[in-house]
Amino acid sequence: MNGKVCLLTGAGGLLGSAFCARFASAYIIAGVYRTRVPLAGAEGESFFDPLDPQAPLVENDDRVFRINADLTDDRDLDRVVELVLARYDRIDVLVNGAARMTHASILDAERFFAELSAQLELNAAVPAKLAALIARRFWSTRGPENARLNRCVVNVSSVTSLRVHPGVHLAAYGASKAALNQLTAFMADEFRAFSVRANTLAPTSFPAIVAVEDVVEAIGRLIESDRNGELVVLE
Amino acid sequence: MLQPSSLESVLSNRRWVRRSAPFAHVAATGVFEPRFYAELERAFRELLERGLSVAPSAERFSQSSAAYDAYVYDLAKCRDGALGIFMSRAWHDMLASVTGVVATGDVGGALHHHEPGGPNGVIHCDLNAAWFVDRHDANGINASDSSACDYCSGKTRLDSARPRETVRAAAMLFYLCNGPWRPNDGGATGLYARGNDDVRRPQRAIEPIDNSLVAFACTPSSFHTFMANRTPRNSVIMWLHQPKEAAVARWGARAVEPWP
Repeated sequence: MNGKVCLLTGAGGLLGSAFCARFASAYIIAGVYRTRVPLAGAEGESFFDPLDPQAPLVENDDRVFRINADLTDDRDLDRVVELVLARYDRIDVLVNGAARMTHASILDAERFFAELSAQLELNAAVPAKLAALIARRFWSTRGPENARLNRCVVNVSSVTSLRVHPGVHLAAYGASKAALNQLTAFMADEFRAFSVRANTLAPTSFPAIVAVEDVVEAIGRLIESDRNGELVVLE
Repeated sequence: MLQPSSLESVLSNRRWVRRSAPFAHVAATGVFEPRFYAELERAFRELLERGLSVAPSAERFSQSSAAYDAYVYDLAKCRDGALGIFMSRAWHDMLASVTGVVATGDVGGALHHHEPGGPNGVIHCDLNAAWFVDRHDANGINASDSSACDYCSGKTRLDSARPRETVRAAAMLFYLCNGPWRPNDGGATGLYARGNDDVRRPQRAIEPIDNSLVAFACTPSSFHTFMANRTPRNSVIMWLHQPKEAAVARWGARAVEPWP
């Protein structure tokens, strides 16, 4: 089978759906979602251009393997990796796009600290756990193959991890994404031993300030690049 | 009035999704370019900020009937601003094309606002009769005009009016001004395989995510309804129409649902 096998989390969100729409013809995508079913080609679905509905689209030649999972449950993390390896025999790219973002004031202690735990788990720990699982199960013993296929991890962070936006009460989100930045930097250092790259993309608010398609293109550029251990800001 | 070339300039997502279950419908997220979407939000909010009225009002969102808790504002009054895109010929023709219906140019619709705590609606299919008086604009769009005749009954308010009966052909819901949406917020549009399904368990729930839409041909099996909301829920709802004869020929006279 041709094309990189890409495991994408958050496949049902705006970013995930746009990623599937853009890259389903280039990559073999296994899309993980929890509540929102990915707006991507699947059985009983097809893409069309609203201004030219009869025109054939390359996106309809491809399909996304959709996996429903709760990534905060370690058993589901195991299941996701097993499912993808069983179906495709490899994972070439991991894009961690799943995220939780809730506005909460630090002064609202009960709610804030519950949110902080939840966002640290999904936004920082889960991407690291998933990458580590794939590394232990597959990548760690395949250094030359990883280098030849340019295998990598792209973690989607946020500019909120780098600066404070006054009055928006995103401390938990910003802290969790800052943690993700640093986890990715250390991941890049450790995964270099078996030639798997890891980078962070920190976009500003999408689609309000940058188009979701621009974020997707930036992820694609990181996948195809030779960069490692970098944090790329998109704003 | 926006022309087809304008649609190309404001549409962002050119990869909409067509689904077959539980009934044929199309969906899209990120429908409009961010700047145009911001114009739509601004126009919607300006109207909303006039306040809500329980009594019928021509100037504010108001409750159209005691049986329906949403506050509505006639889409036909929004033709001059960004919201006018939904009343344009280009939008009419595109919606007819993507839902596969032959439409008459008759358009009805409203801005909808649900206060938090709204209950689940009743599952329905929207294959209803609708009445129009012929007052087409230069592009052939004939907006529902309650000052001329009642949309549901055809009852005239003008002696000179000659109401014409149509049947709804396609429905569209566009979601806006809802902010970040979480599953517990509710306010989704539930899609069902049968009219007697459990309203709380749709086969598919279309989430009211800003700048997204769902559209479908109105058929005897296009079962859907509003699902209970815990946060404010805003949308634009509109319908295209077909000649009554065409609907009766295709579905039978009894398939056209009477108004509650």
